[in-house]
Amino acid sequence: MSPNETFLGMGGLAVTADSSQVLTTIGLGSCVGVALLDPRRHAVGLAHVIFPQAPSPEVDEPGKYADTAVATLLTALARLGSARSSLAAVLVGGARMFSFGRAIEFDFGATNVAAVEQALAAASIPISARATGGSIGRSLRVHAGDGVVSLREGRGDSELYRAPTGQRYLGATR
Amino acid sequence: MVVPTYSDVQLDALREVANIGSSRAATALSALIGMPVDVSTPSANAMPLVDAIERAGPGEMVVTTVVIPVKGALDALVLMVMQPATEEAACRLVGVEVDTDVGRSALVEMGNILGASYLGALSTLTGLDLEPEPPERVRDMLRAVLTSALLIEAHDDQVLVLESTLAVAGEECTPTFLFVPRRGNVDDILERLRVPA
Repeated sequence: MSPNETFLGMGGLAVTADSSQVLTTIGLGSCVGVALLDPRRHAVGLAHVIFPQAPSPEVDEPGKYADTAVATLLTALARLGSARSSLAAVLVGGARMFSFGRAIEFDFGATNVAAVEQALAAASIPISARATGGSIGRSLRVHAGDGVVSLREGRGDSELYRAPTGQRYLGATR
Repeated sequence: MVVPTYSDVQLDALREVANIGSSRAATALSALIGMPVDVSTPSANAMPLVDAIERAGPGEMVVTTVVIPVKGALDALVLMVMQPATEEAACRLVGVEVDTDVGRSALVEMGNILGASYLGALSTLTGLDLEPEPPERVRDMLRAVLTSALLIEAHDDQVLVLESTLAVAGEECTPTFLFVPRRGNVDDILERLRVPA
């Protein structure tokens, strides 16, 4: 674990423009990790979404709900100087871990993914990479320095996304 | 949003439900492996979903979980959660190899037997007709498994979890049982136990 790694709890949300930082969230089942990356300013954000919709627009933990998570990430990244038009999204999670009747009936994973997709589409943010659905637990790490999103599924780690290299990473550490 | 709260008397009664259920499960496990099995003091906690999951253990720890969905008079889930050491010991104690098809089937069968014992005790205690559905086994990250399971019954931020852990004497074999009733169904249980609000 990197000393500059920030672990988000369930329903957590964080943004950073510090290129030494890694934002991490672990053990996503039906929850969805929503990463937004701005290669030009190497600012990144991450939210751990549990539910598709917030009970009201003003909630204490905006990261918990798909709609407020996307809205809050956009606001926070704008504050760091990121233009909405330069953002790319990466989605991880939204699995259905069980296949008995009620697990299929209440497919929170699919509902969460659809809600995040809808919120991103409304903001015209493209989804550049994803590891969603299926019946597997996942973790993801967002590296602010080089715009890499790494994925852990089962016992395997892989690189899910790397921000385009044409865009310069000012202040990147590697 | 209305957050249901439970009085100490109600939580005591629910703890007793977990105690009786897990004692019966311990008896079944003891019969299965021919060794003494202890039951930990059970807990009954009504709390936010996130707290229930984050206190359960390291989120990425790979656990084997056997879930028994319950239908009938109430909707609920019974979960038997095994950490790696427990899974290994449980397989050894019933004479099968861990991480094989036979080992996996044995754990499902163990979960089924213990879960049915747990539910049988609850049924007798409350007079509620509880119908177990076929068990399902999932082996994955603790947080991924628990969140997905608890959400099915919680449907909200709040969840009630009855937890108790069995311990096979002299072995690192400590399966944990979680009984997760659907929110609206907790009142039915309390009513049957004649516990006032």
